[in-house]
Order: sequence, then structure tokens, then C-alpha cells
Amino acid sequence: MRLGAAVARNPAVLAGLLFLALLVASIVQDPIILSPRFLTGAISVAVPLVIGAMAVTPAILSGNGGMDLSIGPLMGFVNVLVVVALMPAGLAAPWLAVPILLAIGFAVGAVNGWLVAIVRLQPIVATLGTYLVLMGANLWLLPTPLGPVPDWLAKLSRPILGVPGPVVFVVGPALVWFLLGRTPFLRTLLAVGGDDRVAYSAGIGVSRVRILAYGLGGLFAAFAGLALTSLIQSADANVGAPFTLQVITAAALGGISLAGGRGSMWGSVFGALSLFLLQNFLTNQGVSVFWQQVAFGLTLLAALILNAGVARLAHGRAGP
Amino acid sequence: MIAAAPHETGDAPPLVRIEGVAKAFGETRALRDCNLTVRPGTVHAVIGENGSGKSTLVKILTGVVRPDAGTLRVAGLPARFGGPREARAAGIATTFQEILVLEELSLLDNLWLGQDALFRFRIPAARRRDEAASIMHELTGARPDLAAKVADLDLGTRQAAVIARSLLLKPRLLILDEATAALDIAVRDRLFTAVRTRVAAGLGVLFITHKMDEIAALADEVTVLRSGESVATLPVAEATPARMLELMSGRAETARMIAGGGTSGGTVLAVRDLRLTAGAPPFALEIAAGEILGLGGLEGHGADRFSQILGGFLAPAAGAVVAPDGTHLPGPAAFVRHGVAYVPRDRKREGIFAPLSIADNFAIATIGRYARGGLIEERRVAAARAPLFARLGVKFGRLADPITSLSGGNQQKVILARMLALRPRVLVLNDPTRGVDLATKQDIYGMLDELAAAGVAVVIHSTEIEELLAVCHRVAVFHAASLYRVVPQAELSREALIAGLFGRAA
Amino acid sequence: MRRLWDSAQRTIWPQLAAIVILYGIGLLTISGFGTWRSILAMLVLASFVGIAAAGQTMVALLGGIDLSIPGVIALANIATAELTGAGWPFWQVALLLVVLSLGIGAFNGFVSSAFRINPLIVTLGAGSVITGAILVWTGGQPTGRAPGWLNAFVAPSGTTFGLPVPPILVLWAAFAVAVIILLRRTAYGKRVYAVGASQPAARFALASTERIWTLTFALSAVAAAVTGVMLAGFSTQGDIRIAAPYLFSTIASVVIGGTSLVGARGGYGRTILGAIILTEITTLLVANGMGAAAQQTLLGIIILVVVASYGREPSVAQRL
Repeated sequence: MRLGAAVARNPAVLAGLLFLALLVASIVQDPIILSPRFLTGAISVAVPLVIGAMAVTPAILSGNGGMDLSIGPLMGFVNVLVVVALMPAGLAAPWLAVPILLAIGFAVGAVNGWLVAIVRLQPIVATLGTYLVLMGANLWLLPTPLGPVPDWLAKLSRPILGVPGPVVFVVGPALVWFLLGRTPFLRTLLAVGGDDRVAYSAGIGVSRVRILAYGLGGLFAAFAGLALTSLIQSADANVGAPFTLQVITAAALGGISLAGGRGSMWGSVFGALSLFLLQNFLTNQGVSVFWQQVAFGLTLLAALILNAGVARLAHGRAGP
Repeated sequence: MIAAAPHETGDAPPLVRIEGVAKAFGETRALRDCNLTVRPGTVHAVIGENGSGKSTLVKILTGVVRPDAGTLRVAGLPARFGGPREARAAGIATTFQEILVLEELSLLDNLWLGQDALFRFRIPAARRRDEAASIMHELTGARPDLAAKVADLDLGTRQAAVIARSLLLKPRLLILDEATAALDIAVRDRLFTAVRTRVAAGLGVLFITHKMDEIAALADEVTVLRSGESVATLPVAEATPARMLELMSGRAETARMIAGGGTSGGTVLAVRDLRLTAGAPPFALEIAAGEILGLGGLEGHGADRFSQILGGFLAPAAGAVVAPDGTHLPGPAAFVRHGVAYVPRDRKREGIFAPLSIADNFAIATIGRYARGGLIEERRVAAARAPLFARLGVKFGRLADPITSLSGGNQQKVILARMLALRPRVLVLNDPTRGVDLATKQDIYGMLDELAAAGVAVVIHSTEIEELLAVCHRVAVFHAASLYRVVPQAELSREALIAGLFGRAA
Repeated sequence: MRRLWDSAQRTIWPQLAAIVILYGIGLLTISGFGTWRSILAMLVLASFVGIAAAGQTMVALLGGIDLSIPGVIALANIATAELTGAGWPFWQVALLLVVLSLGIGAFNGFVSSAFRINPLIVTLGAGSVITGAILVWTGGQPTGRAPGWLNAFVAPSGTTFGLPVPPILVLWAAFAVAVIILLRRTAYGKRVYAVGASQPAARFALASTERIWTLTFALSAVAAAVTGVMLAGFSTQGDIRIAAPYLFSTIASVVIGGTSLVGARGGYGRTILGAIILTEITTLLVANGMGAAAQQTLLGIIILVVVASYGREPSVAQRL
């Protein structure tokens, strides 16, 4: 069972395989998928989901029931702010807008982290609270959808030198995560997520690490919000909410253990891409949007059960 | 075996000086008046029964918990630690009783855990590997794969790893809290050598243990804790087992706590071809009605496991627990039907329902019996509860009070009452007097004696030799994940038990 | 001062005070607020949340959460209209809904406990499947109409055996008594509290976590189904969107009432008070012109503040 052992050691392997399988199925279904025009279009659409999945990952990795339900509304918040706040205030230029929005994203994430680590609310409850606050804020700021978006964002919805524009936004989170991987931070995060008591006893600042993890999630969500804005080229208060569930599904599909301390960012990326390909595949097969909703829910449940099953295999024990 | 003589001069300040330290957790007074001094270049042992305050002492020195009263001085200066990080920064390295490893991380990462800054590696890669390999070899005599996930390593290696983690910090004060439980003799001896080498170079060691042979082997002086007080500090030469027992328990010698002779009954429960873990030697054992059977063994050698298996809550690797007529008992429900009741080991995590009342904590295991037409009748609950509480001597305010308002001893009595309400034929208790005061222990022993006299088979796993000697008719000693020997009543003695614990003939 | 706060948490004076104060504010700011008619109207509104929140309460006592409640409400709501319109007698509709909801809830509870997956995600996935299934069934165009007597049942102006009390309030009262007795005076209820307090201890005390979770989530789904049927009396034709607010309003009722989401503390009596308080707040906000945005934001903040006051997790040091 060498495959089983490989999966147990790195859960992203399963996600990668799933992605390949779906990719092959999609190509067989309709080879047009390989055409540059289609590819760039498809990838653009997938980008917000991919970055969103990356955004929810640090919180889950940080353990102790780590979860972030506010990623979706935070993406929407960024989207709304671009049109409602930054443009009217003349702050729409990229070198102003981007740092401001990233800072806001990080700050919101850090508030989540504070609620979890210092106030010590269950992460689900804390991020449910911020979910509601952000949804309310979005609706209040922008009751009806509005456009247009700043030029530079609109331009990014089209390919640049053959590369789909929104991919630019993936570079940010990917780079940050890569750089963090070269410091002790990732290992420390996994330690805190694996067993925070052990980390604490070894002198690790558990609260600090958790606040940073949630802050990082908020930062990535801001990137995702920017990508989303360039994609839909307008602002809509309700556009973020559906992502809440999707990014969690993507992470679960990607083998991120919901118990914390186990999983890799690649897994989330593959999970998101798999989800996207699945949706694409079903649409092309003529499956109605309604059935897709069913398929989506079933995929989440299957991913969760599989995830739990693999985790059991890896630890080789069942019991309280 | 004498440890290196202390060699600090009068003017070097002690590493750690504790004076008048007290700490209470709710109603429980874990420490009352603790006084202790550790000098550089010495090994200071602390010994005490379960519940004497040893773990709390360690937590205070590590900054996990802050004392309610008293002073703590490190290297002459007053210290108030906010957490383990500050204690480490002050040069104190602690190895806790629980083996705290991260299974998903490599051995190397576990060894250096906490030494890096958040975003910067503090130790270069080559030095990390070399020092890690060197210290693991020093402790275990082997060279385990540093890249291996700890999940793949055995318990002994894991325990050596957490000790190594402390040593890699190059501390001024090393605290070892019952750190040798999972080590086999060879590794333990290597540990002691490693410690002595460093002590000779000025390291101070605070060595918490309940094993007297280790004290004789390693310590320079011994402090005895009893009920949260440091009752005496002796140089090791004066710390004979008899003297220490006397100080720990406040009694001159271990009185036999039970009256009966433990004869009687036919077999009520038996195990056939039982293997505790895969590959361990199988064994068989019969438990008779009316006897008090003790289960003894060093931590990790199988006694705890066996208790759980006998209680019906853990499946053996092979073999089965059977009723006298030979029928297998496949799961907890079958055990209950056969009349087996199990009192779990970890009171806080497996015993009490902290948010619930004393009344609810009592009734839960038998709750279905008190209902008529679906509704619980308080009258029936009281009828079951009152006699048990009276016999056990449970001291409480009101039944509706949360169970956490009771002392540890009284909580244990409530849990005992809970399981006794099942009217079991076999009562399996897993380390029931851990963290319980002496008076309560005596109440519990009295109850066990009565039960045995009434024909109930009592099986008690204990980590205290004195308890096994005081209470049991015979003792099954476990070693290396199997039953080593059953010591019959006639041969019960401290020497016989200790020998058995180490896998030696008496 | 601390002692006062601690004892306030254990009693219900804060909730009772809130009800009175909010009522006072309503009297001052809304004309026609103090009439018997408007009180009944508010109580009827509260009853919908209140009945569904019974399930949420029981699940919260286990330390879980049920986000499939809106899905089940929608299912019951639409099925009542569609099937009655197709000629089914009501008792058949009711029977079918009971069976379906028991099955859905049992699935939620079993999968969460047997596979150790966070129920938030399991129920979210299940809710998604249910919503999709409804859409598939109705093709997005629900038809039919609820039985006529149902309108009279839920109307605030309705009477029960000549008394000027709407039948639905009588139902709620009877329902409340049943649930409270179930939780406080039956073996099952005691086991719910035990499992919520400590799963390992419950196992040793011979209470099966899987069985209790399965049963409790099943009952939660049934309560949601009852609400869905009742709502059909309100708006004759089934509407899938009618259920969405119940997701957060049931949680808010539980939280405001003072039942701990961590488990084992609280009960349905508190949730009833919470539902009434929530309905008062919503009525006040709507009457004063504040829409969905303010409601959501306020809800989020209330949840965070209330849980922070009583539902904080133990720190790492305390768990060491």
C-alpha cells in the first residue's frame, strides 16, 4: 500500500491526484479546454477561489478548532471598498489602493486572531461573528451593485503577455508563503496547530503565532478580493458570501486536517482547482445549476469523510 | 551509588530559592508552604505521594502557574515568570511528566523546539544535526533517524527526546518531573551519567520522583513534600526509604489497611492468551470473587493498559477477557451486563463532568434505572445515592453544587459511588487515589475492604508500592507489556514488588 | 463586582431585564407598540425562531452547532405547499416530513460523531445538498399552496377554543414544556448534558456519544421541519428564501439566552427568552427603518460580546 503511505505522509498528494484525474476528464470531455483563449478565461475565474482557499488555510493549520468563516465576506469587503471608498477618495491608484487594502485585510484577520487567541472564543464562533459584521458592513456600504472599477483592475482581467491577468494576484500570497517557509514560522505554526500545549511548554508564543496566522489569512483574502474585483469589474455586497463554503471545501479536499497541524498550501491550491474543474465539468455536461448545488454539497461531505479517514489511517488508531 | 558532592562555596547564590510558596486551584490547596533551595552543581530530589504538590511546584518554576503567596528567587534575584518562555530565558529547562512531543514533526524539530525566533533560525543547520545526534546517542546509545517523524518512534525514544530537548538548552537548572517513567534501565543509567557529567560542571538539577532507588543513585539532598508542604530536607545519606516513607505519609510504617484474607470465591472474570500489545508475551489470569487484586508496574509497562482492558474499555491486541463459563466479552456493554464496573484513571478528563452538579455526576451511569414512564424520579435516585454517599463519607454542601466545588478526594468518592450504583460483581479501579488526601484514601480503602468481604472482586491498579502493600491480597506485577509475576499474599513485600517491577526475581 | 457578574451569568435576570428594557424602548419609539395585538404578533414571530431554536439548543448542549436548519425549514415549507397542492392529505405530508427530517438529522449527528468532523461543516454541507435538492425538485418554481387551516393557525388574530391566543403560541407552549421535560427529567436529557460536558467521561459512564449525537441532531431537524410547516401558513406558497435568516437567528437566540456553545450549560427555557429578545430587537430595527445590513452587523456584535462574557475557552496554560 505504498500509495497509502505516501498519502498519509503528505495529504496534498491525494488532492494532486484528484486534480489530475479531473483535468484528464475535462480534456477528454472537450479538448477546447486546452486552447489558450479558454485557458486564460478559465484560470481567471478560478483565481479568486484558489487564493481564497489559500486564505483559509493558515487559520485551519493553527489548530484548536481553527477555522475562518469570514474569508468570503472579507473578499466582498475589499471588493466593495474599492468602488465605494477608494475611488471617490482618489486612492484608486495601484500603489495606494493595494497597500491600503492589504493592510485592511491583515487587520481584519488579526482581529479574528485576537478573538481566538486572547479573548479565547471558539474560532467558529469568532469568525461567525466577524462574518456577520462584514456582511452587514458590505450591505450598508453598497446596497446595490455598482461599477466601474479602476482602470488598472479592469486591465488585469485580460491576459498580459499570454498570462491571465488575475494570476498576478496569486503571486502575492504564493511569495509570502514561500518566504515564510524559509523561516521557522511554518514549522512553528504546525507545532502550535499540532498540539498547542507542547508548543507552549517549549516556550513558543502560541497567541502570537495564532494572531499572525489569522492575519495572514486576512491578507490573502484581500488579494483574493482584488482578483475578484478585476474579474467581475464591479462591486457587489453579496459576491463574497458563496466563497465561505467553497474555500473550506477546497481546503478539506486538499487534505488540510481540520484538527490542525497537518497539511500543505499545495493541497489547498489543488483542492480549489479540483473544485473548479468539477464545476466546469458538470456545467459542460449540461448538469443544471440546481444539481450542481447538490453535487457541491456532496463533494464537501465526501471530502470531509475522506479527510477524516485518511487522518485515522495516518495515526493508525481509533479511540477517544 | 553516591552522587557527586556539592561543590559550591558559601558566596555563590543558589540557583533557585523558594520560600513560603502557596497555590490553590479553587477549593483544592495544591501547595501550602513550600520551601526549597537548589544550589549549582547539586542534584536536589523532591519526593512525595500523589497529590502532594509536586506537579504544581514544577508548574510554578516553569511559569505555567503563578503562586498565590511566597517568593521565588532565581540566582538571587526575585523572579515572576509569565510563562515557559521566560523560565527558559532565565536558564530553567523543564521536562514535564507528560511526554510532550509533536508527532507530525521530525525528531530534529522536536529536539530544537522553541529555540528559534519566530522568523529567524538561531542555530545553524550543521550544528543542529550534530548536537542532536550527539545527545541522542549520549542518552540512548543509539543513533535514531533525526528526520523521522516522532509518530514513528517508540515511547522510550520519545521520552529520551524530551529530556534531550531540555539538555540542548544548556540550562542552569534542569527540572525532571518523573521523567524516567518510560525509560528502560539502560537508558536511565545513561541519563544519570549524562546528568552527573553536567552537574560536575555546575548544572543544578531538581529531580521529582517517587522512586527511592533513583534518589539514592543520583541525588545529593532530598526534600519531602506532604499535602503541599515541604516537611523536611535531608542530605541523601539520611534519606533512607523508611525515613522517607515516614515523612511522606506521616506514619511510622505502612499499616495493613484491610482486614480480610481475600479467599473465597470462584472465578468471576478471567483472561486467556492475552497480549497487551502486538508481539508482547501472552498471559492468563483469573480473578476471584472477594479478593482484592493489585496491578503494579512501572509507567508504560502494561498495568494501566490491562486495567482498561479488564474494565472493558480497551481491546487487547490478542486474546480475550472471558466470563467464568468461557463466553467472550466483546464490548463495554457486555462487560456491564456481566457486572464489571470500571473507574477511569484521569479524574479530570475521564471521570468528572465538570459543569454538572454533584447529583448529576452520581446518577449518570445508572440513570436509566431511575425512570418510570420515561421520567426520572428523584426519590429513586436518592434511594440509590444516599447509602453510598454515607458509606463513602462524601462531604458536600448541596447536591446541586457543581462537582468542582468538591476536593479531589471527594470527587473521586462521587465517581466511585457512581460505579458502585451499578452493583458490580467486579470493580476495576485505575489508580484511584491519585491526588487524593490521606483521610480520603483510608475511607476508600475501607470501602474496598467491605466490598471484598461482601464478595465483590476488586482489581486496583496503583503506582504506589505502599498502597499495593497496604490494600491487596495479591499483586500482579507487569513488566515489558506483559504479566511478569503474581505475588501471592504470603510473599508480599516491598522487595518482592520492586524486584518484579524491574523484571527481576525477588 | 466579579461575584455579581458570575451569578448574573447563572441566573436569567439579564435576559428578563433585556426583554423589559427593549419593550420599553419599543413603547417609546414605535406607535401602536403596546397593544395586545402587536404583542401577539411579536410572539408569533418569535415562535418560528423559537421552535427551530429548540433544535439548535439541544445541539449546542452537546457542544455542536446545526447549520442545516434553514435547509430543513425550506424543505418542509416547500413540501407543505407543493404536496398539499398536489392533493396529499396533511397527515401524510407531516409523516413524510418527520421521516425525512429524522433521516437528515441522524445523518448529520452520526457523521459528525463517528468521523469526528466538526458538525458546523457537516451540517453546512448537508444543508447545501438539501437546498440543491429542493431546487431540482421544484425547478426553481415552487407551486401549490398550504392547507387553509394553517393560515388561521399562525395568524396573530387567531383563537384557540375561543381564547384570544393564536394556536401557534399554544403549540409553542406545549412544545416548550415537552422539550424542557425531555432535557431535564429524562435519562436521554441527562446523557445529553453528560456528553456535552465530557465525551471521554461519558464513554466511561456508559453513555454513547454517537447515539446521543445522532438522536439529538435528528430531533433538531424535526424541530426545524415543524417551523417550516408553520411558516407555510404565513406565506401560503413555498419560498426557499424564507429560511435563510433562520440560520443565524437560531444561533443568536441560543447565545443571547445564555446557553453555552461549548456544551453542557443552559437549556431551552433560556433560548425562549433569547428568541423573544431577538424578535424585539429585529422589530425595533425594522420599525426604525434599519434594514438587513444593520441587523446582521448587530447580530454579529451581539454574538461576539455575549459569548465573550461566558463562553471563553480555557487557556493553554490551564490545559497543560
